Amino acid sequence: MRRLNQLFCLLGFWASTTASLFASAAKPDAGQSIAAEPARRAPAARPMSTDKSWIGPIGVKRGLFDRPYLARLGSAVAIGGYIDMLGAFKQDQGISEGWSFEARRFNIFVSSAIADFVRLTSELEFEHGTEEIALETALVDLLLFHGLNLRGGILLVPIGRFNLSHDSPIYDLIDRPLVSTQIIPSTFSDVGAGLFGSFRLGRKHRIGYELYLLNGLGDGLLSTEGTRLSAGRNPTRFESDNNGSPALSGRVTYSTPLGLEVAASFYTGIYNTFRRDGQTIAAKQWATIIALDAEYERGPLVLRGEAAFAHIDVPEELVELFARRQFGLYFEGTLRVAKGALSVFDEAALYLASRIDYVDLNARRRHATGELVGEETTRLSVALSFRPVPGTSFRLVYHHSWLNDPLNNASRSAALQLGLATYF
Amino acid sequence: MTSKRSIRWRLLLPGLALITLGGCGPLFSASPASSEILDGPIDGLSAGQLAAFLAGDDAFAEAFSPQMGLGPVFNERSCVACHPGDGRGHPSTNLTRFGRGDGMQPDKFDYLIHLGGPQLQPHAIPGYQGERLPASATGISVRGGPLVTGLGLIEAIPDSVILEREDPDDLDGDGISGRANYIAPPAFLAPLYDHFVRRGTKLLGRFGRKATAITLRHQTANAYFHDMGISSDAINSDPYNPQFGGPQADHAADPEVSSATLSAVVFYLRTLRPPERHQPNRSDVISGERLFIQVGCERCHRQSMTTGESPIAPLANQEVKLYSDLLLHDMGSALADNFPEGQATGREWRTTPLWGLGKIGNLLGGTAYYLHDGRTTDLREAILVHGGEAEQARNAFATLPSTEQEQLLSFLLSL
Repeated sequence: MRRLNQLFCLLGFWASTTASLFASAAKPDAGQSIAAEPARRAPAARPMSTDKSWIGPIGVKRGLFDRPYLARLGSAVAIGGYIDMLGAFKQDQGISEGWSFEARRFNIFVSSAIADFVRLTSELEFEHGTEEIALETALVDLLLFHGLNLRGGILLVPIGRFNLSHDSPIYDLIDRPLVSTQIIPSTFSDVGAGLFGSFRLGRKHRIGYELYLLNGLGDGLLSTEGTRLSAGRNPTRFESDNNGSPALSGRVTYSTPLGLEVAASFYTGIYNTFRRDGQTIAAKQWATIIALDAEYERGPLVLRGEAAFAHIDVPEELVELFARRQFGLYFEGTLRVAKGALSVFDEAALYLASRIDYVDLNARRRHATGELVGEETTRLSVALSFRPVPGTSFRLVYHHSWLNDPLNNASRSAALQLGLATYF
Repeated sequence: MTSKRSIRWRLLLPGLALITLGGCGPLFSASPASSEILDGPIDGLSAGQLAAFLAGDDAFAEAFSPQMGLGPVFNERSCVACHPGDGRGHPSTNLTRFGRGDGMQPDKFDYLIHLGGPQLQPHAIPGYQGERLPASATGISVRGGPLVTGLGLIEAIPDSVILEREDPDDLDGDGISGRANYIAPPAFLAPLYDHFVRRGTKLLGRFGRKATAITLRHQTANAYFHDMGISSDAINSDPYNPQFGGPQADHAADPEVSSATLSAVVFYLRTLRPPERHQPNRSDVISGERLFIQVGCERCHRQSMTTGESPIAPLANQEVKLYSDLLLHDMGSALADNFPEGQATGREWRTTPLWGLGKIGNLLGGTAYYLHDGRTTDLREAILVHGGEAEQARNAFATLPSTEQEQLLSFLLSL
């Protein structure tokens, strides 16, 4: 009954929000946020070039090659980045540690057009100051044709839209979608090589693809917390494959002229160390993720969604302890509700955003007594975001989570966040 | 610029949505009532003791990985897995002990050490095999983790208070012959209190389903070792693994938890508050308590005992309403496991404290599992399966009118 009540509440909230978003979207508006429109359309008044053509095909919208800094210099090398910080008041089951600030990310981008047909891009991430420093991307593209290009290096695994387009200033909500962190282990980058390209279907439709071989996830996937794909991102994966069997990941995107882009993607690979010194020491265990995502953009409205399903082989000795299936999804809507209201900031705009998240980290697993194992989270988030310029967001976010632990004990948590994220 | 009318329209429905959300409940989460849960420190701890309690809480919840020393064979990865919310374990985390022989003759029972006994560790870290129950096992004891709150108060009860009710030969002729389980203390167990009553070199056991652990440190070190394959200063090796013919080393050097961690968990268990009664003044609960005594349940499920001195002030000289005499009783064939431990035979169990009984389901997703192996979710059935020394009381309960049975059950669920 409690779950049913929650469901009605969530549906009521979502329906009214969505109705508002669609009602507002009925009349397209020329203005856009950074979330609603790439910064390549930044106003001409800014003292910089808006030309990013030197970098070549952009691939995923708002992805690596569609970042605003690439227009900055209008030359063969560009340096940029973003900063993401916040303050938050969190409460878990009525218990709070009070207010706390967090320097979540400081990321630096460097890109270069080495030649007309060779380009490089990289991203260095500082998380929580210098607590975690990671080279998230360092790749080289060899641009041959629209339909066939080569890529190698440390690259973003093309599983799910969010993993390819996750810069904090893009979004008006602060925390990342649960499915994109707990099922798809964003940011999921890996060393590998492969192909990418796109084809036009008629004059206005486009199909893009990416396909890479990678070192893949590692043994840590079966973690102390249970099955956690994010824990499978072995820190030594950029050095060598733990099992000598490359993983495969690919993505196909279909773009329409109406602002809709849908994609299907996958990742599959053996994650465990099944041989050592030429000896087979364990059976091969596979991890596979399948994802569907979509983004719709019209006027002041952006709608996004992503769903992912993971299947993980678990050794026989551990099947009672670790999940073999996980599932999650999210839907998000962002609406610009006002623009240019302040004379000081002629580009300033105000946005409303909301998201609903759901993840089940033990899908279809049962206890010995026959009951389904829990470990589900449903989260509802709402945000008010003020953007003085398209690439800068000051946001106030509230989110409320309903959780079930593996034994199906219910609990709640909530947070109020005040955040700042900006490209530079 | 966006028109004011348009702005109003765009803000209207999201505003309604927020109101809808607000209607779903409090915007920030509320704490559950203390009478519905078990965790939390005992009242009266100093700030330093509270800090130690919280450190122990973290250690109790910590899950182990192979790199931290888990296994190589094990039952669960953390303490809290078998004691969720400090309550009793879900049947899916039941553990199995096994051996071969006559369960009524503890001295002659073979614990099948060479086959991985006395405890089955069915799970294994990658690269190892979990244990399987040997075909030769005849004494097989399946049991769940008990709730762990209020244990410090139980530890602080002087032996002499427990032994007041010992009547091994049933000299008073009431059919109840509770007896103590005397256990040979392991080398690491330095007696902490002067109230230990010795029988030769053995000490009184009071923790565990058959009262085989003398102190909380004893119980905790055993649980790290047997249940998780974690070595400590107290037991500095991994469990015997028949696949390798010895305590095969895992991925971590021993000891795998420090003495500080072991002590922190012991302190945490010692200072967990006792379960709080739920609606004890309800009329049916009061009537049920009277019936509980009247039918004879209280002869073993002793209402209370009083602690002695304790270095932790809130534990000293307290009345402990645990509803157990902490002694061994023959519980009849339906509950027998044919697995002796210490001096407890395969038909004997230590009287399970009943405090917290009404909260079991709150910590198991709403379903309460009763008895040592969680075999039933029906409290009435759990009572009716009692036998042996409890047969008289069981029969008295069975003959009560249903309204009085309900009152007695209400009392039990108020604990």
